[in-house]
Amino acid sequence: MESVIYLLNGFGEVITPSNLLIVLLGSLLGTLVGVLPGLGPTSAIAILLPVTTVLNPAQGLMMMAGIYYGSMYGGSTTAILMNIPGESSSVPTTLDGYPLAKKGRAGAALGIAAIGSFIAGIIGLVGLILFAPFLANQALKFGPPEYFTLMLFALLILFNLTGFSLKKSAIMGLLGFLFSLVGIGLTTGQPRFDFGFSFLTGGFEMISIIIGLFAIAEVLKGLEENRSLKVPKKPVQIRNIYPSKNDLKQSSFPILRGSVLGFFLGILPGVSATITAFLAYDLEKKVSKNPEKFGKGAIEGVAGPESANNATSSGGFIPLLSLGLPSSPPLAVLLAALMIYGLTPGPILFEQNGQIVWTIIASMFVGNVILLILNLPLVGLWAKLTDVPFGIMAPIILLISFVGAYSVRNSMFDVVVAIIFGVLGYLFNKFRWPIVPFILCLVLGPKIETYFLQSLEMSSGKLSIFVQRPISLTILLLAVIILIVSIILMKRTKRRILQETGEQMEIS
Amino acid sequence: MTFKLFTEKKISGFIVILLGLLSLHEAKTLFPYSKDLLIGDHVFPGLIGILLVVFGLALFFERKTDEKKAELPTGKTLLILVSSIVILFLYCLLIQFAGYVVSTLIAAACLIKIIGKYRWIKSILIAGTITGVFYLLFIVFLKTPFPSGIFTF
Repeated sequence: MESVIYLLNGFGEVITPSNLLIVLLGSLLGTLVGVLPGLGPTSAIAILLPVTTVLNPAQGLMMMAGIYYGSMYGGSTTAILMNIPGESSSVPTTLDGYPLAKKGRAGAALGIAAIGSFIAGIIGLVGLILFAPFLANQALKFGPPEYFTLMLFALLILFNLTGFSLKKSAIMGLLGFLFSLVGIGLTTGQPRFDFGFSFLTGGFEMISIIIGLFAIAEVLKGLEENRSLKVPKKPVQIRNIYPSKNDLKQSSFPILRGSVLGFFLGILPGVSATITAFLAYDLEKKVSKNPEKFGKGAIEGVAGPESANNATSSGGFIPLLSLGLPSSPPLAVLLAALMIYGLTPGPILFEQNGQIVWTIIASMFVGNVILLILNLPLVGLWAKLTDVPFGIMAPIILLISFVGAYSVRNSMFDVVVAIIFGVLGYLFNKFRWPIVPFILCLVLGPKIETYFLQSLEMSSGKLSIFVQRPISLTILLLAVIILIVSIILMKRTKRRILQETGEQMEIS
Repeated sequence: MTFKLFTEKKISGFIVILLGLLSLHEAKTLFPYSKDLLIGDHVFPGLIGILLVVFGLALFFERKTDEKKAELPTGKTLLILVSSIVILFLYCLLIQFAGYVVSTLIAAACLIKIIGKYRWIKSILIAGTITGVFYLLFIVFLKTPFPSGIFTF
């Protein structure tokens, strides 16, 4: 009940002209980012983070949350109209979305995707309101050892998720840790890994590394593929943008099933939007009376995975806000953003900054409604935007990346770091080294080190503290079970992606 | 059976081992400042160093070779890639002397010319528009303190 009152107060804060404008801008920017090739939600949030510093923390975070869920909507547009899944989680949407578009039913597919995303988003947010404060309340019982075991095992499970070799994932995670250690030491105040250079004592700015690895590397990838020489793939013509009554009837249960499945699995660390989207697609095929329609243009094949995808994304906010655990790279950047704004994600967030948190949650409801109202009429415009030539898009992304990296600390060193990591990101991609573990460890590294050192201070240097405390031991046991489940789910998802696309993809 | 030294796994394994050794060296340097073997700023560099060396060795001696070989770009594509990166580095230098407006105009025009393969005049026009929009957004509106260089704007 308390949560509802807080949420209503949050709505009171959001429904002001300036805040509504911020939510609108964030949602539209997010959709734009989702539609345009070459810029994903992670890089968009990272680049725009410095821009939002002129806003107050609540407004800045509202905008970034808008970009995050807006991009989830946007991703389905290219998947349906052009058969281009921007991220691996959109692959199931292409399977029936594009055949539907070729049959002249692009509008119905896009409409169902938007409605499914909206319902899933709302279900996810209701779950967030119910579960996040409860989890945060329970997490107040956690001490440093519990947090350390929780973060370590969440990371181990996430390593398994990247779709590539576990060895490479572990190495990338360790390298992320290594880069997070550069700067002033936590206990002695001595500089670490500075090698006598004063510019290294301030450490690496994680936002510039993220801009390099995601935005600049993506442009370099596009240059290699000669995207500027290719004639942009013409999107399929959209005739009617609204789905028929029959489409809505056929999609209602798939949307509900996808939302519930996506949300509940999405709460668990180690189950990504790609996994739930594929599970939802296969579930719909299994329960359908006409499974032979799938792959040839079944509306249920769009409704189920799109809803699951969005519900999982909303579910990811629960561990983020209540435990400070990001389950995907965009959420890791949001975690960094929260910290830059002076907020500490975790159980005390709801106590200390409750007003801001509830305002952000309320803004997500409003943002989802705005997206539903605006996206359908604007579908034609979004489709046209995919025509922007790469020859203009790429320089703009590079220049925005330059400015974004510079403006975090007004430092040219950060720009150089972003460019170097852009090249590294391109090479990592080329040689199939996953960057997700690197980012997550880079962001969580300082926290994990702090909890580890605090735990050992408590136990006078005895490692047994991690198995002696009941909650910590329970987390360890649960982590083993979840790890086994996630390995099984991961193998299945890898096999399905290979079946459907003929290639391996980094899973997000 | 042939032993290839310059494979992706050997090179990356070697780099990972080197980084691990570097981390271990840093741990050794920091150890005198700490009060216990497991409490202090040296602990994580030490742990990460050990793990990097172990994983690096495992990668170096891995026998599995079923992975697809990555092909690096060549010819014109490589030239475009390298020149784009060089332009960005030159932009970092130029902005300190020439200031935001001039350096951004030059960098944007060069990038558009190289990546988009437009004629120079069109590249400069597009670059001018981008520079103007960015100037309004980042300098006028967001007050980002870019170097103004030898020019006063």
